[in-house]
Amino acid sequence: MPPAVQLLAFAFALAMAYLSYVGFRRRHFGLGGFVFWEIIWAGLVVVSLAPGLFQPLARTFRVARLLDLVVVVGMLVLGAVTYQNYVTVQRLRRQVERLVRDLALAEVPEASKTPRAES
Amino acid sequence: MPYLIAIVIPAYHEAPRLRGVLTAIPWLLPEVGERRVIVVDDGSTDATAAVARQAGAIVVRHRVNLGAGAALRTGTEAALKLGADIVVHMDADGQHPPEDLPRLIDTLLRGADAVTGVRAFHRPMPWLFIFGNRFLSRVTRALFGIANPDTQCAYRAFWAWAWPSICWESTDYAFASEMLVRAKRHGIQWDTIPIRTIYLDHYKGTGIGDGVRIFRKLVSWRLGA
Repeated sequence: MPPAVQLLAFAFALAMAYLSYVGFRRRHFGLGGFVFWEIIWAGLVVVSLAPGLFQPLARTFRVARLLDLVVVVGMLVLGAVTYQNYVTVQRLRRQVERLVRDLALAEVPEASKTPRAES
Repeated sequence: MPYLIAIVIPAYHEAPRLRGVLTAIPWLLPEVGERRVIVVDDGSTDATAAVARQAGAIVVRHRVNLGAGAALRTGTEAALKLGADIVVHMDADGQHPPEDLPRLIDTLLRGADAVTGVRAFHRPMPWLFIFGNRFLSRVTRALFGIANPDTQCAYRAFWAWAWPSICWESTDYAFASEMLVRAKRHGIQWDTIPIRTIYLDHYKGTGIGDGVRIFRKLVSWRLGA
């Protein structure tokens, strides 16, 4: 019986692989993105089922178990993804604001087209 | 010389109170000029836009909700597009007494570049807002030397030519502080006049999170970010 952490990683990888497939079918991202994420989750499945295969890699990075290395790398990737999301959201926010405001202002006539009443 | 005065009112789900506000806005003195009322419907899903149109206002509509700062910026740009000489900002929920409007305009005509109302920091203003408004006004004074006792009051008027000097980027409630900071840096003379304090409900508009964001932005502007 493999350790619980391996079973957890395996179940997590399967679930994420399925969600990536659903995202691809719903056209949330393209074929390139789908292949990238499926490779990530497939790698996690292999590591969780047969960690011994990659034990030399773990020794190279001086960690006790390969899953520990996966966790460390995962944290680094998470930080990078969070940063990328932040930058993307900020850019989209500015673009949406510009678009919404331009659409609103397009309905306002220019001063020359709106005669000023004598007071 | 008659002036075109644009009264910009940002509104988000304000259909119940907006009609009262629009009908209460006084016709300005004939020698002052003509007025136009611009309601910026900031993505409301209620009858805000319809109520504003029925009351004779020009309606500028955001397809989605962007925030008070963005709505007022759109409304101000709409006012300038219509050729306004003076721009007035007023809330849609009835918390800015329309009878104070002529005094705001009069302050501009007496030589100020811009003017903001100052509310009394006692009841009916909720205690949390009294603390928050006082705190942010003091922080603004300490960081930028701006002696405005109520920096968060959104009842203001300014000459259209001052717009390039005070134009803000903030889409949230921090715009009120940002425009004061920009005005200070560009040498805009910003006066204040006391106005009547009206609070119709306690938990609408700015909250603790907004106060923290405004404080964080004030510090970042001071640091040059």
